[in-house]
Amino acid sequence: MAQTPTHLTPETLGEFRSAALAEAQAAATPAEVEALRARLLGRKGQVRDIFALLGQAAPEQRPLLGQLLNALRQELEAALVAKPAAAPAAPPRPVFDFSLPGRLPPRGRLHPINETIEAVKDIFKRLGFEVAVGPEVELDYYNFEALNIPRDHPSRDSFDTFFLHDDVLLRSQTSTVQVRVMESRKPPIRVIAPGKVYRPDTVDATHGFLFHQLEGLVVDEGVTMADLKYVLLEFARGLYGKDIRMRFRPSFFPFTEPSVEVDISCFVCGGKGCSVCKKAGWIEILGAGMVDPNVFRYVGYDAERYTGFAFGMGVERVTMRRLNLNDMRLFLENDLRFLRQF
Amino acid sequence: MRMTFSWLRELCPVTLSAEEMARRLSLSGCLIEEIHPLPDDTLYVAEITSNRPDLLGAVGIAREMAALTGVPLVLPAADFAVDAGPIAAAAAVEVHAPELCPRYTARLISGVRVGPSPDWLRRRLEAVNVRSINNVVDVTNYVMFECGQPLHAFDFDRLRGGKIIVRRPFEGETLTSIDGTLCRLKPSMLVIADADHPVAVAGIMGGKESEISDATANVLLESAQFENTNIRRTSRALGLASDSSYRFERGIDPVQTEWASRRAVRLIQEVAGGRVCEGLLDFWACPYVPREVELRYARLNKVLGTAVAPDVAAAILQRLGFAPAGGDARRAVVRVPPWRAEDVAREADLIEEVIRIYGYDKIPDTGTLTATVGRVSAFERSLDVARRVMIGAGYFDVVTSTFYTEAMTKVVSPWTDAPALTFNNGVRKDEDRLRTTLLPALLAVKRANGAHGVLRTPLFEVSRVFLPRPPRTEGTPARDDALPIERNVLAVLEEEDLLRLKGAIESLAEALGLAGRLRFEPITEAFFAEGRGAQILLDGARVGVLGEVGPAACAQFDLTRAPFMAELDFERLVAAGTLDRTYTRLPTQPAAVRDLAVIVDEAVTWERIEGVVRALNIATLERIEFFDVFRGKQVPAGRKSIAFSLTFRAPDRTLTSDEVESARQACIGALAALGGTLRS
Repeated sequence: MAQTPTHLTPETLGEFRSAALAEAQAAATPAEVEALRARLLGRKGQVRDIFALLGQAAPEQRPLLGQLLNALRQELEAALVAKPAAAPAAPPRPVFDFSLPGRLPPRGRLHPINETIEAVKDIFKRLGFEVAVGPEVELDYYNFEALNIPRDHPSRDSFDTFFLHDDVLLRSQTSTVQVRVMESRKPPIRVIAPGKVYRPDTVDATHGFLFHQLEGLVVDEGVTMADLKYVLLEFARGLYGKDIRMRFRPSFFPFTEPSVEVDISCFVCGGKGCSVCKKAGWIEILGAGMVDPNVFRYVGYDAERYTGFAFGMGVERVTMRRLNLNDMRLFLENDLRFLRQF
Repeated sequence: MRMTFSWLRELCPVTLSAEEMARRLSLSGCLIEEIHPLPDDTLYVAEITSNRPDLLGAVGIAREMAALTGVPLVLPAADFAVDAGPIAAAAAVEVHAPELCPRYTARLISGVRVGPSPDWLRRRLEAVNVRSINNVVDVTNYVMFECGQPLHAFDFDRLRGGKIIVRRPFEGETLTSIDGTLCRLKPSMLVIADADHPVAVAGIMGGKESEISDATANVLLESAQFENTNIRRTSRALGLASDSSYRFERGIDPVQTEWASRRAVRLIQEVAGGRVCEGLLDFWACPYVPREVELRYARLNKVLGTAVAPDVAAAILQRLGFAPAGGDARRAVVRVPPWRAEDVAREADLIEEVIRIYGYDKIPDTGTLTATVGRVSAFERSLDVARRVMIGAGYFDVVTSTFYTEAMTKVVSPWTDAPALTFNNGVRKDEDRLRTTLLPALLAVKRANGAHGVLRTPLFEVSRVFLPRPPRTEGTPARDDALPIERNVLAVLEEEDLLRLKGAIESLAEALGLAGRLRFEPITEAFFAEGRGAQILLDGARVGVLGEVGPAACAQFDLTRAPFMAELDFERLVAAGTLDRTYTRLPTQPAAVRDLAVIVDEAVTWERIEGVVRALNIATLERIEFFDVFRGKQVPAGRKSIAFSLTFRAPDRTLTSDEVESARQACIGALAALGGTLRS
């Protein structure tokens, strides 16, 4: 409790002030505040007692002490009035049960196939690729002829196709977009073309009559197979991790020469051999190659001046590996118990 | 194709292990897909691409091994003793259709003893999955697997007139093949006939009548080349395929044709005895003249991004059998060997030959592509936005089939009256239509989920529909006139109620920069429940439909509770909308909000209420916002209570309560004109 000074000087007043303000600070309940108020500022309060001492002070100090006393009174009034009236003591709240399940806001999901397309697109966009589109119902010309696949050629075997009539079909590959893009603009070209393709395959765990491909095409002066390797390695590392190794294996596509299958080191076992890579250590991820000069001829590009590369991958296969899933039929079933997992 | 490692090593005696050899073959163009251990041997299963028919025999693969390792290729013996008179005295070959049969050779062996094959022959064939028939037939198959040249042995005594005529069939001719198939032949095909009638479908399968049997004594051995395309067409037309047709349609080495004949005769003599007639009947329309192809070394490295030395490139080509035919320091000119005649014709092909042996692993993976920023189309960006809006609102993105049954196409068709396009679906016969709407597909997804007990299925899909094209469409290349219009539409299936569905669409429209621009106009559409269907208009044109699914469609999809569905022309929304936004200054003055509830007749729509209020043109009316509609106690039958709020604000001052009240009264007055009374 602040002691009323016996004689009044600026020092004794300062001591009282500190003690009284500390008390005001410490008062917690409204009752305490009220009691303190009465004791300090009341009609018979300590402040009034101190004012009474003013007459005994040295005359030259009186004006200063008067000012200090008035200031102190205001300070204390403010300190004691400002004390909020605390809420009536509420009954203690029960402990919150954090093990209760949260209330979920609605949340849909992107279909895993579209999610993969977006992920792959995103990587290629960062490499400067644009997205191109072409029709799903296509002319034989774009699906085959202009891709250097003549009629009655065994290379058509790998492209069994649904026909609407003689020259019109459901595209069996997104490579159709290559030709349409080259027809409609001049190099430099750097595009990817994701989309649905159709083949008369009997549906099983790894085949469907409808699936998705993503095609890529780069054409410019001075484009080399080293550029192809660079772009695909960047892609593979972006999608599967930075430690991925890659290799090219010769293959055959009528619209590229040379043509390669592209393998990456298994992203599960790192190449040691596991169930995902079927003990091979390598996983085939896509087909690619340098654009065949015949294709350039079809679109009227100078094959001496321009070179280019193309690549294509099956989106279902990429997705199946990403999700560790072995039955592609799930993709078209749209079972929400399945879609909700992602 | 299956092949044993021991067979290959006989032709190219490498010291590498079977695994290492397989790895190097796979990395240079002959993919060994599987390796299986056999007792004392290893089985390769090779996947041969259609451009490399030369690898459809052991010799071809051994040739690759030789090029890869430098170990020379050792061709098996093809010599034999001639101990009978000239073949020309006994048999004759006539080729009447040289365009379909560039080369035909025949040899005659008399007095063979047909019987079981020796063990070594039987084992080799079994290892490559060929059933042993008898020693003569087995030799023809053996030589085919050895060098890729299909052969056929005829029982010479069954050939009338002792004659082979290679011709097109006459109209109506038939042949029963050795597998018992009755082939109806057409003049577009090619047969081997005797003096009277066909005895074999050329290059595909022999006839039953002239096949080698235990009673056969004299054998006429055919080794020929048939035109690829015709073999392929005939094989498809007859539904008849064989190891022979597989090779012929890809192309065989016409020079080797004659060697294969000799090789087979030697083996027949070895395993079945017999006396070989002198000479060979050989029809060869145009003997092989190797094509000369040029390779510029600079071009090689320009395409590959490598630094392959000229002498290295030249040496690789030579090891692969491309004989030098000139050239200088800057370029090689080589002759294409006959076994690569179908495949190698251009510089680009030679570039591939060099790099596949040189090693793709030696191509650097440091590109020199320049940095560039690709354009992102409005469609791309809008699709991204739309998906995020829909997913955030709780809808699941689905991917459904483009193919509909006829019944599915009849459910609803918001975009066209024309029937859906059809195609021949050989896999699922009744799913032979291309959809014109996604709505039935989403209902099918809902039904399938219901069967699993998943009853709440908020769905959406953005995909293409296929609309028959009117005869001439402006702005389409003439060639594309044959194609349908492909339009990206967005379909939604909502479970809760029609207003949530409409809200989702409005939220989508807002995200696409079309806030307030869609109009909803009731329509009569059998797909929707009566009075519960509307079309969505943008600038007066239909851009969508929405409504509560009607009882007929619910019944068709086994749904007990009607879902709410919409479909929008996504491309039109994108074209009319924008993703660009500009900032509007936030207000500095407070707003005054007044709530109203007005009782009106059922027939009075919200649109009319909003309309009369807005028609007052109250300058300070900032917003009019619907709360809810209420029917029940205190509201007379046939009427409804509509509650909404009015927000007033002036940009430059605080409105006085008198100003606000007089504006509110004006609104009440306008509503009274609609028959509306204030609900207290």
